[in-house]
Amino acid sequence: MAEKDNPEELQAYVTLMTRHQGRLRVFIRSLLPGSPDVEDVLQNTNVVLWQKRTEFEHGTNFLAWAFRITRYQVMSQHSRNKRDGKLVFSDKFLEHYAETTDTDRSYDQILNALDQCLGKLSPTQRKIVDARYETGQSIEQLATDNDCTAGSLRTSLHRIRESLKNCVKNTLSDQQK
Amino acid sequence: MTEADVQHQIQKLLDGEISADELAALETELMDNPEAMDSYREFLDLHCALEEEIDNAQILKTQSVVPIDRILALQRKFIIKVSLLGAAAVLLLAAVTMWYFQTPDHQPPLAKFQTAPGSDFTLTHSGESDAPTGKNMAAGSRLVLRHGVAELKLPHDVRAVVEAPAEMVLRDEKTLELAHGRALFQVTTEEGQGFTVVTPHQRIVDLGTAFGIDSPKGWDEIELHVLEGRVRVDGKDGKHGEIIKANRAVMLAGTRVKREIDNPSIGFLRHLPPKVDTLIKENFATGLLVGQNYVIQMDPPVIRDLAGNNSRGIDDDTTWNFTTGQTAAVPITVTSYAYTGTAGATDQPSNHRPGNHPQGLFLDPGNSKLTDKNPGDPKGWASGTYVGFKGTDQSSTQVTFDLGTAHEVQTITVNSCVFGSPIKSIKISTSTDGVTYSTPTPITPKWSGLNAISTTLEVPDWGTARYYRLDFASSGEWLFLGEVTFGAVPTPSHGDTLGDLEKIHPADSLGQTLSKRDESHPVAIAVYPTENSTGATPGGQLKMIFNEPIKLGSGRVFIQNSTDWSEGELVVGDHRLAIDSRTLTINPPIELKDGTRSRGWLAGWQTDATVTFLNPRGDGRWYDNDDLQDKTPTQGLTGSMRSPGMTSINKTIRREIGTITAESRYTVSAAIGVRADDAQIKSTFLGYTIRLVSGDTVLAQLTSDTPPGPANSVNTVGFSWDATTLPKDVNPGDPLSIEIIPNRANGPGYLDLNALRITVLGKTGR
Repeated sequence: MAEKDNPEELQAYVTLMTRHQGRLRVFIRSLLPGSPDVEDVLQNTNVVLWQKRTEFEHGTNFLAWAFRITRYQVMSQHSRNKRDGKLVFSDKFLEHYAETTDTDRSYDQILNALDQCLGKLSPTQRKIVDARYETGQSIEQLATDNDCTAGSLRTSLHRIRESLKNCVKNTLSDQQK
Repeated sequence: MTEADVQHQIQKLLDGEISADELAALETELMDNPEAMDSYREFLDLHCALEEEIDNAQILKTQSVVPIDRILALQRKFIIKVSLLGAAAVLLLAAVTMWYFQTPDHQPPLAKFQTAPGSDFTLTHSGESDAPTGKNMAAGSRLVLRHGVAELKLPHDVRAVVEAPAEMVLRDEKTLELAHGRALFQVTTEEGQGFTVVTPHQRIVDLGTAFGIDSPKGWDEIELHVLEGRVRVDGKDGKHGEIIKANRAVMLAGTRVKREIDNPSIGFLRHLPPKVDTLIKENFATGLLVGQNYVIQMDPPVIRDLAGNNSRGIDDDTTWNFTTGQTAAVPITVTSYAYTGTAGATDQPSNHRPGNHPQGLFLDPGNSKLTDKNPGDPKGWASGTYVGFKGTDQSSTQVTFDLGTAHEVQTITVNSCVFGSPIKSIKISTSTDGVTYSTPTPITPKWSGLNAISTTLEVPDWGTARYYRLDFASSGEWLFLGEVTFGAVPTPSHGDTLGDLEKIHPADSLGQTLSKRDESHPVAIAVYPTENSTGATPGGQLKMIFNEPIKLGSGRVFIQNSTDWSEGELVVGDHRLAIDSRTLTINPPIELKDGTRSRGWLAGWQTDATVTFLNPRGDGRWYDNDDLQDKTPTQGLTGSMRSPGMTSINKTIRREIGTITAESRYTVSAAIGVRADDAQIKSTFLGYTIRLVSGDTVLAQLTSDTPPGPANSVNTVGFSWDATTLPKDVNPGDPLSIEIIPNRANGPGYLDLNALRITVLGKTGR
């Protein structure tokens, strides 16, 4: 049973949870790259966040607190993945990566920069990005579906990602000047 | 690792294509190299941002716009209720709120599923307007799994791991209709009890358990393996039947237990495997067309030596042009042969030495093989139409074949038999102008018993030869030689065949290159078809031989058909570019205009005839494209046809796909076309047999004389083979081949093919 269900605090808590769903999802994705379990881990994290809502001290850094909880959920999923024979990073690496992740970064800025950079892609390049990320399908499958070779699709996608990465980096750098 | 290597591996990780070794190396690099870690973070930020961006765009596309006042009203309602309800109700309300924020306005899914990377599936829903998005299933959703594995999460914590080929429809929260497939079901909660799998012949009702079902397509019987708890086998009418308890595996015919299964086959998968390995993905659109002029160009970095030096490539100055002929490859011919028994070898009384008896071995009409008139028929061996000898411990006999002119033979197939103990060995020798080369050590085949056994011997690279000699050594038993075939495999001619390439880069000649390997470019010393050759019949493949071992780098190979000005492009990484030591093999793409067809040679397949390539898109000459089932996004082609390329065969085609891996499960699928009734070019449906073979042993096959679909359709057919229990005389590591056979060979008519795929699942996760 909750120790305190102050409606105002509860509203604030729900707002924080809702506002930071994207950040939590990104954090999970960064720790489990390419994993199909991201939504499951997020769901489990939300359940724990809700159960622990009374332990949160309003006014402190919600995201840092939520990230700690998320890390446990990720590590738990990571152990399951390892047990199932899935290809994963070592625990040591995962912990190192989580420890050194800056929780204060503004992810919205990255999204805004990406918006601008996506606008610079050619229609063909944009189509490749959309196809890869909308369907979540493998490159082999996408190549089959789109009547092209996996090799050419892979090369194109790698180049597009590289140029988007550089574009986002430059855009963020320009904004900070 | 270079920076480029790190970035490449990161991208492979993001795309789920990284191997275990590569991941370990990447992890080490990331831990040791802060710059690499920075790069990793940047890529991950981008990757995650792209996923978010696309997710958001998807939601906007699929969801009606929610007015802000509705959201505010909901939040107000939420706050008021929170003040009144207890903690449990709050939790529920929060869940509802989060559901509201996160879920589009769709029919709520009953189940969701994940697939192993490399799986091939189609998900359709009964209703279009409110169909769930993503990998979610509602009542009436149909999942067709052609390759790979799907893990279903059903209501009440019911979980299923399904292996292809499979097809299922989710009927309601407790009923899954399994048309065919192999699946493990786990029911762990009381609420899940009563979960029912409806097969074509019975209803399998869970009574709290874990159980596996193997229900191949078209079979009247299914395997039921109860691993924990118990299940009930009901009739299709719902009438309750027998209860099967844990640790029992049975073969069911309807509701009747036909027999117990004492030796269960390969275990059921309990989890999604890390990936599905694809052995072949063939769209039947690679090869060369008859009577065409070709121009090949290649970026220099496509080929590198093992030290990383680029080749010179092929450009406008260093040309590689050739013209294909009008007919199939001419087999290597044997002009004469001689038989010699040495000391200790005793001729079989009924033996007929080649050339010495009218009923002895004779050359076939194509002069490509010697045969005893009864090839492959064990009874034929005993009929006296063979050449044979009885050896002693020191004895041997030879058969020497004169090929007339110099050839380079890639394989020799020997069909023979021996009584009793195995033959000791076969040794192959070649001879040109008095110089003889031999296998370093005799080849010892695994032959025994009174059976006709065919074996193919790989001929080492000895250069061209005029004579081939087979030396047989026997150990006091009778050996009968029934048939010898020389592989009519076109191979590159060595020497100054690339002309301009070597003239332009004289410093890279073979001798000098070998002395300074680490600093020099790899040099192409031969190509097939040869430069400026006409009448080339290369079996659909191009080959380049280099002066040293090579690897693929980066860049593109252009194959231009200068007769019709179509151009194909292969980027490194494409499976149609392959390296074997010093040889680059190119399977050139066929580019056909819509509605056209042409004859040619399929690349990579063993067949002695040209095939027909066709592009059915367009004018309805073969298929009435307007009425094909799936108009988008494949523009008039069905979902099974992944490219406009298609091939028509009226003879068997065969291809080696590797060796048999124990305890694996192979899945084969192919698209078979049924031409339109009103097609301008009609074809009688020939029937088909698709089979996996090892040598002459058929391991598994799918055969039918019935069209797999209505006229004007292309349909995926498939089957799987469990390599746990192998036939006698077939062992893990033995060669594995695929054969596609038109059942009524030579027509009239053709078998239209597309989209062959073969995948294999190991025991990981079982």
